[in-house]
Amino acid sequence: MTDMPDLRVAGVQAPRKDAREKVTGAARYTVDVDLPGMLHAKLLRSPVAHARLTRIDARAARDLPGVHAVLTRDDLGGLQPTYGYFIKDQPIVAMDKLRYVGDPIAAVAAQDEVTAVRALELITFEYEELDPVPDVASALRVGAVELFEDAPMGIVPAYGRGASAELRPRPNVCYRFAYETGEDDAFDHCDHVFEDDFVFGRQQHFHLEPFVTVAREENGQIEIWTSSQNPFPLRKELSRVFQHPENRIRVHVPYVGAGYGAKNNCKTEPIAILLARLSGRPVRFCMTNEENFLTQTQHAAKIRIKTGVMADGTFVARAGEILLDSGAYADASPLVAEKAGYRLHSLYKWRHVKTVCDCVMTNTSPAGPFRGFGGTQASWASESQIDMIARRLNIDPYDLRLKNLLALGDPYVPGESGMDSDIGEGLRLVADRIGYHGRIRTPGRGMGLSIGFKDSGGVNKPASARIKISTTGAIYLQCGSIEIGQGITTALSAITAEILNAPAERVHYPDVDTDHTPFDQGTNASSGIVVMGQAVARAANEVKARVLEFAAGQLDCDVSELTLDDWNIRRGNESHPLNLMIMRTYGGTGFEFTGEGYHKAEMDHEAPLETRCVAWEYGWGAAEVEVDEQTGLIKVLQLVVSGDAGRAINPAVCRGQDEGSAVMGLGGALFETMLYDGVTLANGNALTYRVPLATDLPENFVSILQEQGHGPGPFGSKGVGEGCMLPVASAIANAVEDAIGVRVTEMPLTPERVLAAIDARNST
Amino acid sequence: MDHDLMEAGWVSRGHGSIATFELIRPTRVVDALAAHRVAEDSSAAYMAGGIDQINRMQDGAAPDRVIDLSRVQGLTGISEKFGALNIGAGVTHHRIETDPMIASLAPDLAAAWATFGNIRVRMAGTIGGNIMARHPNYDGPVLLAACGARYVFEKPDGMTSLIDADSWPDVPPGADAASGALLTRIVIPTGGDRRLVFDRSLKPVISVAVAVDGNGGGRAAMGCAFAEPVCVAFDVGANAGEIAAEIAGALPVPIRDVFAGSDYRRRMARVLLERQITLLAEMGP
Repeated sequence: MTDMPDLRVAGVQAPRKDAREKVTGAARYTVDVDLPGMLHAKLLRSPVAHARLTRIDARAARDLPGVHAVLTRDDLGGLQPTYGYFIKDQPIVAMDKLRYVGDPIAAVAAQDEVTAVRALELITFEYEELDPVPDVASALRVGAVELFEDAPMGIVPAYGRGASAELRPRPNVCYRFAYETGEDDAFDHCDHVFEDDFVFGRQQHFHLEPFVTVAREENGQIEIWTSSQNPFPLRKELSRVFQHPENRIRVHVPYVGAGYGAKNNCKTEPIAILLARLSGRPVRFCMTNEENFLTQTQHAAKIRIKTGVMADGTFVARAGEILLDSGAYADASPLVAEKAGYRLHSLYKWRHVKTVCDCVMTNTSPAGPFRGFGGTQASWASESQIDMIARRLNIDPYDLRLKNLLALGDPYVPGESGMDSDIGEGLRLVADRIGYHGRIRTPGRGMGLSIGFKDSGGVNKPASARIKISTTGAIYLQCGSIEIGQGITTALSAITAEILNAPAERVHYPDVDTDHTPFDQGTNASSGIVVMGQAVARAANEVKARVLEFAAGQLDCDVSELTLDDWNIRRGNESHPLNLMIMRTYGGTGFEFTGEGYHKAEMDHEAPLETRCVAWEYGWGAAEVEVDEQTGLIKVLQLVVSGDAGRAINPAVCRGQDEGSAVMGLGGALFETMLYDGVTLANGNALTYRVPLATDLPENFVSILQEQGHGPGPFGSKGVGEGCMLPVASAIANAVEDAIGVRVTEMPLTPERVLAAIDARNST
Repeated sequence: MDHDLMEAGWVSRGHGSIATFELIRPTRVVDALAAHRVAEDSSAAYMAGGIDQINRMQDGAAPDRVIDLSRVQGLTGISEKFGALNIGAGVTHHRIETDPMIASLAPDLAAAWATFGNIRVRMAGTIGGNIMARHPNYDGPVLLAACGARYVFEKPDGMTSLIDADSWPDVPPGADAASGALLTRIVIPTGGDRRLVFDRSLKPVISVAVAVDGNGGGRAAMGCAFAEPVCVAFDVGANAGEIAAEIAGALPVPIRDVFAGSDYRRRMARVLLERQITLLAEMGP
């Protein structure tokens, strides 16, 4: 652990800036936006999973009193009507085909929701059903019907050393990412080669605020209020879709009621805008909770890993294949594939790595970004197999990990940035806290360990910030980080206040508005602190320098003699109020000082993903379970997780993130998954989709916030928020094997699956 | 999801609009019964806490008249009469969980009831709504069947009918709605040293409640595994494993769905039954 600088505002467990508003109900979200004359939108969705849309007739709907606009494929003229990240394949409404149960067919804007639904009932359509492709195996079967007969517009970005990608490498695969490094023949020199298969479930984000947008278009200006994590890339995509200048599209983002990755890129926005354009009135399009399930999900996955080791447990080579279930549209699948494929070999020393990740199209809800972003799938398989190998070699899984872990500063792979936490130290912490070493063996009880990781800061991700200080010392922090519940406004305000030596209460964080807020690529990838935080720190230092230069001019002294102290200038024992100094120079109208900050990792073709990872986010996990061998039910007795915030800007906020992500991981490990009966989602509502309750928490649930001090963010900080989700499932699966000697390789670890594994053990 | 709506493109529960309806708010049972009498081509529905009735309406049910029972006198009482608890159909789950009389006379029932849903459901939902929902996963009918409870209905013709909780599944769903009968109270025997245990650890796969009395009689009820709860009477005397095996072997074929298979459900019925019968034996009279 490095020496920590003394801090006054940052690093302190201060109340959140948004606490009072949210507790009292005063906080304003997009769902609360109400414009004069606003209409309400509803969607007609596909009842079938795969079909050719042959006819649609909306005339009766258009004639219904109270209806102001009806949107079908006939209204897409003049647009680039499909969107996506790397691959632009998702239409605003169905054009030629219906690709999943729930695919939007038509939309109506009416005076109220009831009228909108009545109008949808009047729309008739016909279709020719096609063979459905319900899952990855069906999609890859020889001769399977293709979801896209023709290639949608798509790009493959530049990759660096060892990484590559390909569009449509085989039928029903929209993207393939591959990574390779080291000696091709490494497997030939191994004492043992193990190959194992794993299945990963499919969580839904279950954000409480649904997808929602309020849109209006007046005098050629499109203006939206939307529940979005990335307003600037969204604005760019809307500009392309609507063929409309970016500076005539204005995106406002009030508080966002959670997203967990789902609220990136186009969701409700294109339909709301188009209906506003067609009706000439503001339109509110707010989905239901059930529609969230039909809009965005996590990627289910099938994962095969081959690992070569020496007899003493030294790791040599790892190869893997991941098949992500992308659902009906590519969405962010290529980006998730990059990360899943790149992380599969995990943070151990290898002489050879070779991974491939395919994005497989199926007739199910589109899959996209989800907390952990490919790291959850990779960690599940990788850390499960590490334990399996340890047991096969009769080595304690703890020792096997320590023997092979990358050390602090070791590059993840050639050309990549180094490890910025002592990974072994984190493992020791959770193992000690749960009592792993020297534990007394009790029948049916076991302990498991796991280390998850992902990058923090995204790839090639720029962020910019502006800080203004008024005559009276009021501070405006303008940046595009979205307050999505994670506490980023509190943290960035604390960084600003710390540098400006001001109380945090004096920092105002205006709502994000793309017309006025400096550019940010998005609130995702645990980037708020390590990318935006650096931009904010630079802006704060710049404005501070300007203030001190101004004061030095006024006091006719050198800047080095001065310090900024709560909007006073200190020079030795003298204190000079800045407001008086400013008005002496600028008059009674006052002045604003402004500082700008920017951060982006440099491009580097030696780095596999073209920029080195800004920071690494780790999640250490340890679980103790008790397994009921008659029912297969797992009871998690203890769950210990730990993340490394580098230097916690607000320890309570960091722990909240660690614990929230761990509970999300617990749900995915034990029961939380979307269940399809063929192509029909069987549990797509809050009544039947099981999420963790407070009563599901283990009696001993502990989070340990590490502050190892190696982060690139302000004061040594790093990103948190995703890491502690990553190790939970594999730690539990490892504990199950420790308890009863059976390995479950499919998530979630339902009692029926566990019991089947017990039966299989008993029958051999 | 209503099949016709699904065919028309309504794929999401809650996506369809709730049809317009007439809201009646009676204050007496007799007025509620009268309000339920509608023309032959119309329909009416009672609503207590509103959780399930609104769900049904979001799923496509479209009663012309909804009769709000929240103001009806006499539906929220809790009393003891002739060795039995009388719980009004409008009593909320939270009251069952916290009422001193229930805690005194049937603490095991109160404890089991406290595990239902979440606090929002327990504050709004009622025992009557839980029964009338006829939802295969609801716990109320399972517990009440094990306890040997009876449901008291007031009928539009002024008659009162009593239905044993364990034969409630034999009443065709919808028959009560068609007749306009109103569930007014639930009668739960409290005498005879009855002891009750409940295991919902495997929900939504199966839940099991078992009650035994001081006379050697036992009743086992199972939920989630069938379209309606299944209740079986047994004699306590035999070995727990044998009783469980016999009951599980004679069960109808459990459902198979995305949550679990039929075989697993039957096997779990046996495991949980054996455990609970053993537990009750260990608890003693």
